[in-house]
Amino acid sequence: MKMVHRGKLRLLPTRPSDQGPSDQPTKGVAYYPGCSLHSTAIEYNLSTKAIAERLVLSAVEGVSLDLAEPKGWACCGTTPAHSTDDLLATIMPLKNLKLIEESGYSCVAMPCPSCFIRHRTAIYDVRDDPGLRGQVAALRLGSGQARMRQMPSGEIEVEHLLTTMTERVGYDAIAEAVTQPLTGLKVVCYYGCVITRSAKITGAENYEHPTKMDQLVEILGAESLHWSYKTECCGVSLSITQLPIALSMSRRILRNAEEVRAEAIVVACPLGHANLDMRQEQINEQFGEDYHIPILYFTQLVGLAFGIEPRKLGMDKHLARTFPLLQAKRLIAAS
Amino acid sequence: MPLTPQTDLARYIQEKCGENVCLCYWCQKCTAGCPVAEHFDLMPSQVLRAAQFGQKEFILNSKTVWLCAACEACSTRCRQGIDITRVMDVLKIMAQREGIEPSVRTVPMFYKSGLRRIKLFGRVYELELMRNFIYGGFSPASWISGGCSLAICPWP
Ligand code: SF4
Ligand code: SF4
Repeated sequence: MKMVHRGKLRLLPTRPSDQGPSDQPTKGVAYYPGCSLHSTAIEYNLSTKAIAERLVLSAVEGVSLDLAEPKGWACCGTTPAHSTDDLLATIMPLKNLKLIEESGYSCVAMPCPSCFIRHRTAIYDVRDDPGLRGQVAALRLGSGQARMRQMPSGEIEVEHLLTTMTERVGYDAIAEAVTQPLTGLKVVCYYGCVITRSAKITGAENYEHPTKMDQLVEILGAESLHWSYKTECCGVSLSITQLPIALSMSRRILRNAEEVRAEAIVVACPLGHANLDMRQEQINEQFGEDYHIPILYFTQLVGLAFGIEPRKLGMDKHLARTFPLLQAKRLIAAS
Repeated sequence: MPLTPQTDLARYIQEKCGENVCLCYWCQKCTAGCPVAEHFDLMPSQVLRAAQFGQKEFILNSKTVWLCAACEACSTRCRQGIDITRVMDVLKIMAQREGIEPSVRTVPMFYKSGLRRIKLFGRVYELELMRNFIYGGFSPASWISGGCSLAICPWP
Protein backbone atom coordinates (compact mmCIF):
# COMPACT_ATOMS: atom_id res chain seq x y z
CA MET A 1 0.00 0.00 0.00
CA LYS A 2 2.89 2.28 0.87
CA MET A 3 3.98 1.88 -2.71
CA VAL A 4 0.68 2.80 -4.33
CA HIS A 5 0.63 5.75 -1.97
CA ARG A 6 4.02 6.95 -3.12
CA GLY A 7 2.93 6.81 -6.72
CA LYS A 8 5.07 3.82 -7.53
CA LEU A 9 2.32 1.47 -8.64
CA ARG A 10 -0.50 1.92 -11.10
CA LEU A 11 -3.63 -0.16 -11.09
CA LEU A 12 -3.14 -1.05 -14.73
CA PRO A 13 0.23 -1.18 -16.42
CA THR A 14 1.06 1.25 -19.16
CA ARG A 15 0.54 -0.56 -22.44
CA PRO A 16 2.60 -0.61 -25.57
CA SER A 17 -0.13 1.29 -27.39
CA ASP A 18 -0.07 4.12 -24.87
CA GLN A 19 1.24 7.22 -26.48
CA GLY A 20 4.59 8.25 -25.18
CA PRO A 21 5.91 11.77 -25.43
CA SER A 22 6.12 12.98 -28.99
CA ASP A 23 9.14 11.25 -30.40
CA GLN A 24 10.81 13.07 -33.21
CA PRO A 25 13.80 10.96 -34.17
CA THR A 26 16.82 13.10 -33.84
CA LYS A 27 19.38 10.38 -34.45
CA GLY A 28 20.26 10.70 -30.82
CA VAL A 29 20.11 7.96 -28.26
CA ALA A 30 16.79 6.18 -27.92
CA TYR A 31 15.58 5.35 -24.45
CA TYR A 32 14.03 2.03 -23.56
CA PRO A 33 12.87 2.41 -19.96
CA GLY A 34 11.55 -1.10 -19.48
CA CYS A 35 8.53 -2.04 -17.39
CA SER A 36 9.94 -1.25 -13.95
CA LEU A 37 10.78 2.35 -14.74
CA HIS A 38 7.14 3.05 -15.46
CA SER A 39 6.14 1.91 -12.04
CA THR A 40 8.20 0.50 -9.18
CA ALA A 41 11.36 2.29 -10.26
CA ILE A 42 9.68 5.52 -11.19
CA GLU A 43 12.35 7.52 -9.37
CA TYR A 44 14.97 6.05 -11.70
CA ASN A 45 12.92 7.27 -14.65
CA LEU A 46 12.27 10.70 -13.17
CA SER A 47 15.90 11.29 -12.30
CA THR A 48 17.14 10.04 -15.67
CA LYS A 49 14.84 12.41 -17.50
CA ALA A 50 15.76 15.28 -15.21
CA ILE A 51 19.48 14.91 -15.72
CA ALA A 52 19.10 14.32 -19.46
CA GLU A 53 17.18 17.56 -19.67
CA ARG A 54 19.93 19.35 -17.79
CA LEU A 55 22.61 17.88 -20.03
CA VAL A 56 20.77 18.89 -23.17
CA LEU A 57 20.22 22.37 -21.78
CA SER A 58 23.85 22.79 -20.94
CA ALA A 59 24.36 21.84 -24.61
CA VAL A 60 27.40 19.71 -24.27
CA GLU A 61 29.18 19.64 -27.58
CA GLY A 62 28.23 16.70 -29.79
CA VAL A 63 26.03 15.00 -27.25
CA SER A 64 22.44 14.53 -28.19
CA LEU A 65 20.78 13.07 -25.18
CA ASP A 66 17.11 13.63 -25.72
CA LEU A 67 16.37 10.06 -24.61
CA ALA A 68 13.19 9.67 -26.63
CA GLU A 69 11.05 6.68 -25.81
CA PRO A 70 10.12 4.80 -28.98
CA LYS A 71 6.36 4.39 -29.17
CA GLY A 72 4.97 0.94 -28.63
CA TRP A 73 7.87 -0.77 -26.95
CA ALA A 74 6.99 -3.99 -25.19
CA CYS A 75 8.50 -6.03 -22.40
CA CYS A 76 11.79 -7.80 -23.08
CA GLY A 77 10.46 -10.98 -21.54
CA THR A 78 12.97 -10.93 -18.71
CA THR A 79 13.34 -13.99 -16.44
CA PRO A 80 10.01 -15.67 -17.21
CA ALA A 81 10.81 -15.73 -20.92
CA HIS A 82 14.40 -16.92 -20.88
CA SER A 83 13.57 -19.56 -18.31
CA THR A 84 10.62 -21.05 -20.14
CA ASP A 85 11.05 -20.51 -23.84
CA ASP A 86 14.35 -19.76 -25.50
CA LEU A 87 12.76 -18.72 -28.76
CA LEU A 88 10.39 -16.26 -27.10
CA ALA A 89 13.31 -14.85 -25.14
CA THR A 90 14.98 -14.02 -28.44
CA ILE A 91 11.94 -12.72 -30.26
CA MET A 92 10.69 -10.24 -27.68
CA PRO A 93 13.89 -8.17 -27.57
CA LEU A 94 14.31 -8.36 -31.34
CA LYS A 95 10.87 -6.89 -31.87
CA ASN A 96 11.83 -3.93 -29.72
CA LEU A 97 15.11 -3.47 -31.51
CA LYS A 98 13.35 -3.51 -34.85
CA LEU A 99 10.96 -0.88 -33.59
CA ILE A 100 13.76 1.30 -32.31
CA GLU A 101 15.64 0.96 -35.56
CA GLU A 102 12.55 1.90 -37.53
CA SER A 103 12.17 5.01 -35.42
CA GLY A 104 15.52 6.11 -36.75
CA TYR A 105 17.91 5.32 -33.95
CA SER A 106 21.14 3.39 -34.05
CA CYS A 107 21.73 3.37 -30.34
CA VAL A 108 19.51 2.71 -27.37
CA ALA A 109 20.17 3.30 -23.68
CA MET A 110 18.60 0.90 -21.20
CA PRO A 111 18.52 1.75 -17.53
CA CYS A 112 17.49 -1.76 -16.46
CA PRO A 113 20.31 -4.32 -16.50
CA SER A 114 17.86 -7.12 -17.12
CA CYS A 115 16.45 -5.48 -20.27
CA PHE A 116 19.99 -4.65 -21.27
CA ILE A 117 21.26 -8.21 -21.02
CA ARG A 118 18.18 -9.73 -22.69
CA HIS A 119 18.48 -7.41 -25.68
CA ARG A 120 22.20 -7.94 -26.00
CA THR A 121 21.86 -11.69 -25.65
CA ALA A 122 19.23 -11.76 -28.39
CA ILE A 123 21.52 -9.89 -30.76
CA TYR A 124 24.43 -12.13 -29.82
CA ASP A 125 22.38 -15.28 -30.39
CA VAL A 126 20.93 -14.46 -33.78
CA ARG A 127 24.23 -13.19 -35.02
CA ASP A 128 25.93 -16.48 -34.33
CA ASP A 129 23.13 -18.86 -35.13
CA PRO A 130 21.62 -18.90 -38.64
CA GLY A 131 19.22 -21.66 -37.57
CA LEU A 132 17.75 -19.46 -34.85
CA ARG A 133 17.55 -16.56 -37.29
CA GLY A 134 15.44 -18.69 -39.62
CA GLN A 135 13.19 -19.81 -36.77
CA VAL A 136 12.59 -16.25 -35.63
CA ALA A 137 11.85 -15.04 -39.13
CA ALA A 138 9.30 -17.81 -39.68
CA LEU A 139 7.43 -17.30 -36.48
CA ARG A 140 4.25 -15.43 -35.88
CA LEU A 141 4.19 -13.88 -32.48
CA GLY A 142 0.72 -13.78 -31.00
CA SER A 143 -2.45 -13.28 -32.97
CA GLY A 144 -2.88 -10.39 -35.33
CA GLN A 145 0.74 -9.42 -35.21
CA ALA A 146 2.83 -9.28 -38.29
CA ARG A 147 5.63 -11.69 -38.90
CA MET A 148 9.08 -10.49 -38.24
CA ARG A 149 9.96 -10.50 -41.88
CA GLN A 150 13.02 -8.43 -41.41
CA MET A 151 15.34 -8.72 -38.53
CA PRO A 152 16.91 -5.68 -37.02
CA SER A 153 20.12 -5.17 -38.90
CA GLY A 154 22.17 -6.08 -35.87
CA GLU A 155 24.03 -2.83 -36.06
CA ILE A 156 21.96 -1.21 -33.41
CA GLU A 157 23.92 -0.61 -30.27
CA VAL A 158 22.42 -1.51 -26.94
CA GLU A 159 24.02 0.28 -24.02
CA HIS A 160 23.36 0.34 -20.37
CA LEU A 161 22.48 3.84 -19.21
CA LEU A 162 25.58 3.89 -17.03
CA THR A 163 27.74 3.41 -20.10
CA THR A 164 25.79 6.06 -21.97
CA MET A 165 26.43 8.50 -19.17
CA THR A 166 30.07 7.71 -18.59
CA GLU A 167 31.21 7.09 -22.14
CA ARG A 168 28.85 8.79 -24.53
CA VAL A 169 28.19 11.86 -22.44
CA GLY A 170 31.53 11.52 -20.72
CA TYR A 171 32.91 12.33 -17.32
CA ASP A 172 34.07 15.77 -18.43
CA ALA A 173 30.66 16.89 -19.61
CA ILE A 174 29.12 15.68 -16.37
CA ALA A 175 31.79 17.38 -14.29
CA GLU A 176 31.05 20.61 -16.09
CA ALA A 177 27.37 20.48 -15.19
CA VAL A 178 27.99 19.86 -11.48
CA THR A 179 26.82 22.83 -9.45
CA GLN A 180 26.52 21.30 -6.03
CA PRO A 181 29.40 18.90 -5.32
CA LEU A 182 28.46 16.10 -2.96
CA THR A 183 31.44 16.69 -0.72
CA GLY A 184 31.59 14.54 2.37
CA LEU A 185 29.13 11.92 1.15
CA LYS A 186 30.50 8.39 1.48
CA VAL A 187 28.87 5.78 -0.70
CA VAL A 188 29.44 2.31 -2.09
CA CYS A 189 28.64 1.52 -5.71
CA TYR A 190 26.54 -1.56 -6.36
CA TYR A 191 26.59 -2.76 -9.95
CA GLY A 192 24.68 -5.98 -9.50
CA CYS A 193 25.03 -8.99 -11.74
CA VAL A 194 24.42 -8.41 -15.36
CA ILE A 195 25.63 -4.92 -16.20
CA THR A 196 29.04 -6.50 -16.55
CA ARG A 197 28.33 -10.20 -16.90
CA SER A 198 28.88 -12.23 -18.84
CA ALA A 199 31.67 -10.30 -20.48
CA LYS A 200 31.26 -11.92 -23.87
CA ILE A 201 27.80 -10.40 -24.10
CA THR A 202 28.22 -7.11 -22.29
CA GLY A 203 31.69 -6.37 -23.62
CA ALA A 204 32.72 -5.14 -20.17
CA GLU A 205 36.43 -5.11 -19.49
CA ASN A 206 36.56 -5.05 -15.72
CA TYR A 207 33.74 -7.43 -15.14
CA GLU A 208 34.89 -8.57 -11.70
CA HIS A 209 35.82 -5.14 -10.50
CA PRO A 210 33.96 -2.51 -12.49
CA THR A 211 34.87 1.10 -11.75
CA LYS A 212 32.74 3.27 -14.02
CA MET A 213 30.19 4.15 -11.39
CA ASP A 214 32.92 4.76 -8.82
CA GLN A 215 34.62 7.22 -11.14
CA LEU A 216 31.30 8.92 -11.79
CA VAL A 217 30.59 9.24 -8.08
CA GLU A 218 34.02 10.71 -7.43
CA ILE A 219 33.47 13.28 -10.14
CA LEU A 220 30.29 14.34 -8.40
CA GLY A 221 32.40 15.08 -5.33
CA ALA A 222 31.33 12.10 -3.21
CA GLU A 223 33.68 9.46 -1.93
CA SER A 224 33.35 5.94 -3.25
CA LEU A 225 34.42 3.36 -0.68
CA HIS A 226 35.98 0.00 -1.38
CA TRP A 227 33.83 -2.99 -0.61
CA SER A 228 33.42 -6.60 -1.63
CA TYR A 229 29.84 -6.84 -2.88
CA LYS A 230 29.97 -4.66 -5.98
CA THR A 231 28.80 -7.36 -8.32
CA GLU A 232 27.23 -9.83 -5.91
CA CYS A 233 23.71 -11.00 -6.67
CA CYS A 234 20.86 -9.53 -4.58
CA GLY A 235 18.62 -12.53 -5.17
CA VAL A 236 16.60 -11.02 -8.02
CA SER A 237 13.30 -12.82 -8.55
CA LEU A 238 13.98 -15.23 -5.68
CA SER A 239 12.58 -12.32 -3.74
CA ILE A 240 9.20 -13.28 -5.15
CA THR A 241 9.52 -17.02 -5.26
CA GLN A 242 11.80 -17.91 -2.34
CA LEU A 243 11.80 -14.94 -0.03
CA PRO A 244 14.07 -16.26 2.77
CA ILE A 245 16.87 -16.95 0.30
CA ALA A 246 16.64 -13.50 -1.24
CA LEU A 247 16.54 -11.84 2.15
CA SER A 248 19.74 -13.54 3.24
CA MET A 249 21.41 -12.55 -0.04
CA SER A 250 20.38 -8.91 0.20
CA ARG A 251 21.33 -8.84 3.84
CA ARG A 252 24.92 -9.78 3.03
CA ILE A 253 25.12 -6.76 0.72
CA LEU A 254 23.68 -4.38 3.31
CA ARG A 255 25.98 -5.82 5.95
CA ASN A 256 29.11 -5.23 3.92
CA ALA A 257 27.98 -1.71 3.07
CA GLU A 258 27.48 -1.01 6.76
CA GLU A 259 30.84 -2.55 7.62
CA VAL A 260 32.70 -0.12 5.39
CA ARG A 261 30.59 2.71 6.87
CA ALA A 262 28.81 3.64 3.69
CA GLU A 263 26.13 6.27 4.08
CA ALA A 264 24.27 5.15 0.99
CA ILE A 265 24.37 2.44 -1.63
CA VAL A 266 24.35 3.67 -5.21
CA VAL A 267 22.67 1.30 -7.63
CA ALA A 268 21.95 1.04 -11.33
CA CYS A 269 19.32 -1.67 -11.24
CA PRO A 270 15.58 -1.50 -10.45
CA LEU A 271 15.51 -5.01 -9.05
CA GLY A 272 18.56 -4.48 -6.91
CA HIS A 273 16.89 -1.36 -5.63
CA ALA A 274 13.68 -3.19 -4.88
CA ASN A 275 15.49 -5.88 -2.93
CA LEU A 276 17.74 -3.56 -0.96
CA ASP A 277 15.30 -0.72 -0.38
CA MET A 278 11.86 -2.26 0.01
CA ARG A 279 13.14 -5.34 1.77
CA GLN A 280 15.25 -3.48 4.33
CA GLU A 281 12.49 -3.42 6.91
CA GLN A 282 11.88 -7.13 6.50
CA ILE A 283 15.58 -7.87 6.72
CA ASN A 284 15.71 -5.90 9.96
CA GLU A 285 12.79 -7.85 11.36
CA GLN A 286 14.03 -11.22 10.24
CA PHE A 287 17.64 -10.92 11.29
CA GLY A 288 17.32 -8.45 14.14
CA GLU A 289 19.38 -5.86 12.31
CA ASP A 290 18.95 -2.14 12.23
CA TYR A 291 19.78 -1.04 8.73
CA HIS A 292 18.64 2.34 7.51
CA ILE A 293 20.75 2.74 4.44
CA PRO A 294 19.30 4.88 1.66
CA ILE A 295 19.55 3.13 -1.69
CA LEU A 296 19.97 5.72 -4.42
CA TYR A 297 20.03 5.37 -8.17
CA PHE A 298 23.20 6.74 -9.70
CA THR A 299 21.03 9.09 -11.75
CA GLN A 300 19.61 10.55 -8.56
CA LEU A 301 23.10 11.21 -7.29
CA VAL A 302 24.02 12.92 -10.55
CA GLY A 303 20.83 14.96 -10.32
CA LEU A 304 21.65 16.07 -6.78
CA ALA A 305 25.08 17.20 -7.87
CA PHE A 306 23.46 19.09 -10.74
CA GLY A 307 21.45 20.95 -8.12
CA ILE A 308 18.10 19.50 -9.17
CA GLU A 309 15.39 19.62 -6.56
CA PRO A 310 15.32 16.24 -4.70
CA ARG A 311 11.59 15.72 -5.19
CA LYS A 312 12.02 16.02 -8.93
CA LEU A 313 14.47 13.15 -8.63
CA GLY A 314 11.93 11.03 -6.79
CA MET A 315 13.87 11.13 -3.54
CA ASP A 316 10.59 10.96 -1.63
CA LYS A 317 9.66 7.63 -3.17
CA HIS A 318 12.09 5.39 -1.34
CA LEU A 319 11.03 3.20 1.50
CA ALA A 320 14.38 3.59 3.28
CA ARG A 321 14.20 7.31 3.86
CA THR A 322 16.69 9.51 2.07
CA PHE A 323 15.91 12.95 3.44
CA PRO A 324 17.71 12.59 6.79
CA LEU A 325 20.93 11.85 4.92
CA LEU A 326 20.42 14.73 2.48
CA GLN A 327 19.77 17.06 5.37
CA ALA A 328 22.81 15.86 7.27
CA LYS A 329 24.93 16.52 4.20
CA ARG A 330 23.32 19.92 3.72
CA LEU A 331 22.09 18.93 0.28
CA ILE A 332 18.65 20.15 1.22
CA ALA A 333 17.62 22.65 3.81
CA ALA A 334 16.73 21.09 7.16
CA SER A 335 13.00 21.16 7.67
CA MET B 1 36.31 -38.71 -19.95
CA PRO B 2 36.03 -37.97 -23.66
CA LEU B 3 35.73 -34.31 -24.59
CA THR B 4 32.75 -34.76 -26.86
CA PRO B 5 29.28 -35.35 -25.43
CA GLN B 6 28.60 -39.07 -25.11
CA THR B 7 25.20 -39.06 -23.50
CA ASP B 8 21.79 -37.93 -24.74
CA LEU B 9 21.55 -35.19 -22.16
CA ALA B 10 24.99 -33.75 -22.92
CA ARG B 11 24.23 -33.84 -26.63
CA TYR B 12 20.85 -32.18 -26.09
CA ILE B 13 22.44 -29.38 -24.07
CA GLN B 14 25.02 -28.79 -26.76
CA GLU B 15 22.40 -28.72 -29.46
CA LYS B 16 20.21 -26.31 -27.53
CA CYS B 17 22.77 -23.76 -26.39
CA GLY B 18 26.09 -24.75 -27.87
CA GLU B 19 27.69 -25.46 -24.51
CA ASN B 20 29.77 -28.59 -24.17
CA VAL B 21 29.43 -29.84 -20.61
CA CYS B 22 32.22 -32.37 -21.18
CA LEU B 23 34.77 -29.57 -21.10
CA CYS B 24 34.17 -29.25 -17.37
CA TYR B 25 37.13 -30.62 -15.42
CA TRP B 26 35.48 -30.14 -12.06
CA CYS B 27 37.62 -27.37 -10.67
CA GLN B 28 34.56 -26.16 -8.72
CA LYS B 29 35.26 -22.51 -9.28
CA CYS B 30 31.62 -22.05 -10.28
CA THR B 31 30.46 -23.52 -6.99
CA ALA B 32 32.90 -21.48 -4.94
CA GLY B 33 31.51 -18.20 -6.26
CA CYS B 34 27.82 -19.05 -6.48
CA PRO B 35 25.83 -16.78 -4.16
CA VAL B 36 22.94 -19.25 -3.88
CA ALA B 37 25.03 -22.42 -3.47
CA GLU B 38 24.25 -22.77 0.22
CA HIS B 39 20.59 -23.28 -0.68
CA PHE B 40 21.22 -25.70 -3.54
CA ASP B 41 21.00 -29.44 -3.18
CA LEU B 42 23.32 -29.98 -6.14
CA MET B 43 26.28 -27.67 -6.58
CA PRO B 44 26.67 -26.12 -10.05
CA SER B 45 29.75 -28.24 -10.65
CA GLN B 46 27.78 -31.34 -9.66
CA VAL B 47 25.11 -30.43 -12.17
CA LEU B 48 27.78 -30.27 -14.85
CA ARG B 49 29.23 -33.59 -13.76
CA ALA B 50 25.86 -35.28 -13.74
CA ALA B 51 25.13 -33.81 -17.16
CA GLN B 52 28.31 -35.36 -18.51
CA PHE B 53 27.00 -38.74 -17.41
CA GLY B 54 23.52 -38.05 -18.69
CA GLN B 55 21.77 -38.26 -15.33
CA LYS B 56 18.74 -36.38 -16.47
CA GLU B 57 16.20 -37.26 -13.76
CA PHE B 58 18.75 -36.67 -11.05
CA ILE B 59 19.31 -33.11 -12.27
CA LEU B 60 15.76 -32.20 -13.22
CA ASN B 61 14.47 -33.27 -9.84
CA SER B 62 16.95 -31.09 -8.00
CA LYS B 63 16.20 -27.72 -6.44
CA THR B 64 19.25 -26.23 -8.07
CA VAL B 65 17.81 -25.76 -11.55
CA TRP B 66 14.96 -23.74 -10.08
CA LEU B 67 16.88 -21.75 -7.52
CA CYS B 68 19.65 -20.60 -9.84
CA ALA B 69 19.33 -16.83 -9.95
CA ALA B 70 20.96 -16.56 -13.38
CA CYS B 71 23.50 -14.15 -11.93
CA GLU B 72 26.16 -15.24 -14.42
CA ALA B 73 28.92 -15.34 -11.81
CA CYS B 74 29.75 -18.94 -12.65
CA SER B 75 29.68 -18.40 -16.42
CA THR B 76 32.04 -15.47 -16.13
CA ARG B 77 34.51 -17.38 -14.04
CA CYS B 78 34.58 -20.82 -15.63
CA ARG B 79 38.08 -21.38 -16.92
CA GLN B 80 36.75 -23.76 -19.52
CA GLY B 81 34.46 -21.07 -20.85
CA ILE B 82 31.27 -22.99 -20.18
CA ASP B 83 28.23 -20.73 -19.93
CA ILE B 84 26.75 -22.54 -16.96
CA THR B 85 23.85 -20.11 -16.62
CA ARG B 86 22.76 -21.09 -20.11
CA VAL B 87 23.00 -24.74 -19.24
CA MET B 88 20.76 -24.07 -16.23
CA ASP B 89 18.26 -22.32 -18.50
CA VAL B 90 18.21 -25.28 -20.88
CA LEU B 91 17.58 -27.61 -17.95
CA LYS B 92 14.81 -25.40 -16.59
CA ILE B 93 13.08 -25.29 -19.94
CA MET B 94 13.54 -29.02 -20.35
CA ALA B 95 11.98 -29.75 -16.95
CA GLN B 96 8.96 -27.60 -17.81
CA ARG B 97 8.48 -29.13 -21.24
CA GLU B 98 8.69 -32.64 -19.89
CA GLY B 99 6.23 -31.82 -17.14
CA ILE B 100 8.53 -32.87 -14.35
CA GLU B 101 7.12 -32.11 -10.93
CA PRO B 102 9.26 -29.13 -9.86
CA SER B 103 10.95 -29.43 -6.50
CA VAL B 104 10.52 -25.69 -5.96
CA ARG B 105 6.99 -25.05 -7.18
CA THR B 106 6.86 -21.31 -6.79
CA VAL B 107 9.51 -20.66 -9.41
CA PRO B 108 7.77 -22.10 -12.48
CA MET B 109 4.50 -20.61 -11.19
CA PHE B 110 6.11 -17.20 -11.22
CA TYR B 111 7.38 -17.75 -14.76
CA LYS B 112 3.99 -18.83 -16.00
CA SER B 113 1.98 -16.05 -14.44
CA GLY B 114 4.61 -13.49 -15.44
CA LEU B 115 4.52 -14.57 -19.06
CA ARG B 116 0.73 -14.65 -19.14
CA ARG B 117 0.59 -11.04 -18.02
CA ILE B 118 3.28 -9.97 -20.46
CA LYS B 119 1.35 -11.60 -23.29
CA LEU B 120 -1.83 -9.93 -22.12
CA PHE B 121 -0.52 -6.43 -21.52
CA GLY B 122 2.68 -6.38 -23.52
CA ARG B 123 4.39 -5.33 -20.35
CA VAL B 124 4.98 -6.66 -16.87
CA TYR B 125 2.00 -6.17 -14.59
CA GLU B 126 3.84 -4.63 -11.68
CA LEU B 127 0.94 -4.31 -9.31
CA GLU B 128 0.52 -8.05 -9.25
CA LEU B 129 4.25 -8.55 -9.22
CA MET B 130 4.43 -6.36 -6.17
CA ARG B 131 1.59 -8.17 -4.51
CA ASN B 132 3.64 -11.32 -4.81
CA PHE B 133 6.73 -9.39 -3.81
CA ILE B 134 5.13 -8.03 -0.69
CA TYR B 135 3.38 -11.19 0.40
CA GLY B 136 6.43 -13.28 -0.20
CA GLY B 137 5.35 -15.02 -3.34
CA PHE B 138 3.11 -17.78 -4.39
CA SER B 139 1.92 -19.33 -1.19
CA PRO B 140 -1.84 -19.94 -0.92
CA ALA B 141 -1.89 -17.35 1.86
CA SER B 142 -0.49 -14.75 -0.48
CA TRP B 143 -3.30 -15.41 -2.92
CA ILE B 144 -5.85 -14.75 -0.25
CA SER B 145 -4.15 -11.79 1.37
CA GLY B 146 -3.40 -10.38 -2.02
CA GLY B 147 -7.00 -10.82 -3.05
CA CYS B 148 -7.57 -7.10 -3.42
CA SER B 149 -5.38 -6.83 -6.46
CA LEU B 150 -6.90 -10.04 -7.82
CA ALA B 151 -10.25 -8.35 -7.69
CA ILE B 152 -8.87 -5.55 -9.77
CA CYS B 153 -7.28 -7.93 -12.21
CA PRO B 154 -9.97 -10.41 -13.22
CA TRP B 155 -7.76 -12.66 -15.36
CA PRO B 156 -6.40 -15.84 -13.86
S1 SF4 C 1 34.12 -23.60 -13.26
FE1 SF4 C 1 33.78 -24.60 -15.23
S2 SF4 C 1 35.29 -26.23 -15.32
FE2 SF4 C 1 35.21 -25.55 -13.19
S3 SF4 C 1 33.73 -26.98 -12.25
FE3 SF4 C 1 32.56 -25.17 -12.91
S4 SF4 C 1 31.83 -25.69 -14.95
FE4 SF4 C 1 33.46 -27.12 -14.46
S1 SF4 D 1 24.14 -18.31 -12.41
FE1 SF4 D 1 23.12 -19.72 -11.00
S2 SF4 D 1 24.58 -21.37 -10.67
FE2 SF4 D 1 25.72 -19.67 -11.57
S3 SF4 D 1 26.58 -18.56 -9.83
FE3 SF4 D 1 24.61 -17.58 -10.33
S4 SF4 D 1 23.06 -18.60 -9.07
FE4 SF4 D 1 24.93 -19.88 -9.04
